[in-house]
Amino acid sequence: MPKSNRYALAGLLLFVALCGAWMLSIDSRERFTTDVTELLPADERDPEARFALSLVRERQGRVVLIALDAPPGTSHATLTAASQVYADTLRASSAFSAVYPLADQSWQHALGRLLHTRRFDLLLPGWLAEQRKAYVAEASAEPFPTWLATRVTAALDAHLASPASAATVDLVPSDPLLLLVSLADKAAPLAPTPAASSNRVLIWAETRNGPLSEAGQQPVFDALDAGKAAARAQVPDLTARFTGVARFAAAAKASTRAEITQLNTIAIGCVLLITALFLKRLHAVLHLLPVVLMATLGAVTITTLLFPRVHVLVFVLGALLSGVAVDYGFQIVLARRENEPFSSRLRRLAIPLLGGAGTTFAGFVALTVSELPLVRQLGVYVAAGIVVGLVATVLYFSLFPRLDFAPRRLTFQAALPSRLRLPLLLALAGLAILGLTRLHWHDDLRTLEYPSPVLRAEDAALRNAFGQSNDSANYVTRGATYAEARTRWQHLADSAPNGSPITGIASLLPSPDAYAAAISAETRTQLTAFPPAFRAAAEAAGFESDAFDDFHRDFASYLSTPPPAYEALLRDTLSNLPGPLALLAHADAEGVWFLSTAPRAFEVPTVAEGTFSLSGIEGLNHLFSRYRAATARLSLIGISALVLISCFLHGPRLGLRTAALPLLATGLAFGVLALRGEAFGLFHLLGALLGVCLADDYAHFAHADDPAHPQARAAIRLSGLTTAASFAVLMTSAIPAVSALGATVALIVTLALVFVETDLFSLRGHG
Amino acid sequence: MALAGCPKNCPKLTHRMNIRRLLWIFILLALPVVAEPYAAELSAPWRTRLAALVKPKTLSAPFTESRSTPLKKRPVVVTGTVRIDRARGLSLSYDQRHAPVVILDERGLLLRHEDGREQSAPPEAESDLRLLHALFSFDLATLEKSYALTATDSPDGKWTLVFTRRDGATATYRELVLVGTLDRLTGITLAKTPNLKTEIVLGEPQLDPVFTAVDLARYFR
Repeated sequence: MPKSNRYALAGLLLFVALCGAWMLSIDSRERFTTDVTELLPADERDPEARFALSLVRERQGRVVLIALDAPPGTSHATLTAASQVYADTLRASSAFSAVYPLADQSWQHALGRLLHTRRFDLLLPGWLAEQRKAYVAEASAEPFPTWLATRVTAALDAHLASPASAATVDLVPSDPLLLLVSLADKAAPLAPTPAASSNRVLIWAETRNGPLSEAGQQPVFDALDAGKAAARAQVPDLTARFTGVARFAAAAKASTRAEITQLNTIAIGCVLLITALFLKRLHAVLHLLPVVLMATLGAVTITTLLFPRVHVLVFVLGALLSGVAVDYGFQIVLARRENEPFSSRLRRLAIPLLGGAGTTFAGFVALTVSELPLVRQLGVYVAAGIVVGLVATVLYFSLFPRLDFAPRRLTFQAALPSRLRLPLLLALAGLAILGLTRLHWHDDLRTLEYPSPVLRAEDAALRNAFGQSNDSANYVTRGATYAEARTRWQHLADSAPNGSPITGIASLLPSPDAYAAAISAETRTQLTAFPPAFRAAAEAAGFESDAFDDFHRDFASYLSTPPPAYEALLRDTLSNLPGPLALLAHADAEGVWFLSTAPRAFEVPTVAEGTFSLSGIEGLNHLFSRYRAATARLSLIGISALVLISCFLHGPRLGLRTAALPLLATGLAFGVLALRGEAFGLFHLLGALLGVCLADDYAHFAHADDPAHPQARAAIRLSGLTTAASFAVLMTSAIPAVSALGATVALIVTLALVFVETDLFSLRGHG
Repeated sequence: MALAGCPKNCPKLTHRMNIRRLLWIFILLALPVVAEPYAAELSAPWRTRLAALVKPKTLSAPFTESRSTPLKKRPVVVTGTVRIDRARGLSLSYDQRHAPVVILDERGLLLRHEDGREQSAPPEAESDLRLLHALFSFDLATLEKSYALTATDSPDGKWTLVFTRRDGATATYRELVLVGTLDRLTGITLAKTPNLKTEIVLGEPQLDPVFTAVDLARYFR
């Protein structure tokens, strides 16, 4: 073996060893992700998007809703016992941190106790503000405590005359101000009561780990299975359904993995089939395998070196790398001429190879400054793979200088007469422009998800069973402090029209202004005078003298204790919220937010600063538009680089003609798709960039086309057809984004191939 | 004697006797199963009276409700109209302004406010409400599980049914009382404690009134 070959072999082996060692050293579960939210930047500057992403990762994303259905005829007691066993099994597992059967009202009672204990801190300030407003409006001459005592007594009488008083008879002695009674309307929507069903039990549970982590998926499903098995000992035909982010995430992961395997297998089959049509020595094609594997290994290694977590979609979209890496092999081996040394062949092919690889590299390097992690990772992956693929191809095939794929001699000639080229070019350009005028964009983050209609239907049915109506929308009000968040929430609540109430945990909390007024020295003095006035007014109205002893004791204690600071009061109260209510507010280093619901028709007014609608992942589509626009700018930079490189390599005239081929192919592909009515998105754009780069490769290779040596033409045909077939396979993907990308690239590559075959741009023979 | 005089028929008659004996055994065994609720407490005339009470398919009557609580020296008195539809349940509409309509039916208790808001009773009230529904619909079988019954008649035609909570029963109402004259119900008392009770006095009822669609939508569900 010549010395140069030994170096080449050593270099290749060393590269594979280093990359292999790196790949073996990393934890694939930690480094690769299928989480759709990780396609967006973690430090997204849009606060709404950042919040929506955090919700999935925070406690709100860990909620699992479960419905147990017993066959008709099962007694309620038996079903209750079975559900108890089910809940106990979940509680005993390490996968769940909280489990509440909805029939078990313990957490609602806990809320009641919490509010009762803190009723003067939490509810008195708002009530007092309302009373003071009425006092001012009435312009009463009575002192405020006396006026208030009379008003409280009258309200109490009215309440006792109401049929609703039957339910509050135990509460009124300690709450004659009816603070908790009047709260019932506000608090009831916070815990929607599902429609009663004699053969169904609903369970609300919270997992210990996030739904996107491994620990938040399989262990959770195992615990749910164990719970079902245990409950079936009581009710053998019990069915258990559940929904949660974890279920969607696990399904998406499994589906995406299955799809990657399936699409790659079909693509490889198509490539082999096409290759067999063009080459006699099919087994020689196996030599391409090491080159493709090395390009892929290098690309994965460099991508994982640069990014702590890489989305698997990068590998699906980066499948084109195989097509490009294979192209270099085809070009080098099929350009073989008898008795020509390998080094001479390389010199002959240097410009087409460097031109093709250089433009593709430049196009994808431009993507690495994108703010979208997926696009950034894809840019690095393909750019790195291009460089590694080209170097590996040259080194590898230098070891086999006599390798011959034995191409079949195809005498197909489709070159157009020169006089027809310009009119045809103009006609095609016109068609492309016509189509491009019809182009419309539709950005939808859901196109990245593997569609799961069955899961979605089950999810909707379960949420409906839990009383989560589709008629209402969720809103989030944020603030740097509790006071700011509560003030902003008040602006939101005040802006709601009558009949469209805003319900939220914030309604149970005093506003900062009302709280400050309630704990002021003046108010405290007036409140000290209230109990004797109330006692007198109540007795005069026919109440027993000891009727409200509980109230007087608690109120005296409240007045004698220094009031807590507002921030401390809210922090302490919200951290003690029981069960599902705990998810309605959140505080961390970044601030505080409250969750509210309102009828879907309600639109948040501009005065409600800090509040935005939480419309799920689809609510982030506007971000996708922004990313698409940014990617379009980067693609234009990449395409400009492609044109410049072409002009640099071939001179301005030929360089522009060379660059025009991929640009027309892309423009025409977009035009045709637009005329078909296709809505375009980010992935059409990425597909266009990939297509431009591939088409540009063929334009550069066309320069090396020599009628005396038809192998170069065979190499372009083979490259083009195998690439078009691979991407046509991607069109069958169930993930809309992948399908869009496949359609775009397949069409561009096919058109580019037709342009090269017909020599529409008169590029042949310039090599 | 007839049997002795007719030896030819003897085997047949013996067979008949066996069947009759078996039938008696079956009836005796089945008696506890098909026995009327409060079989010992309610004689046949009582059952006739109760049957007459539930005969009207619909009923409407004015009422006066006195609510005694430990808070007030005197009961709070309110008035209204009770409507009963055997298929839909019972509805109380109060004369007091802004008072919600109270609907008690098989699905539980519902307060329907003027503005259309509806409030259901909390789930923990379900067992009590089931018993109240049983009381108003004279579902004695349900009441018997939780309450003992004392029925008294007076010569002037007045009658009283006192349901007293059995030991161990979970109902919160200690005593439920129905008072009537002849075949008319005139009063209901629901007592949790001696000083926490509701007494309803019913006025002259209108039997089998026709509830319009508007009435049905407003007073029932």
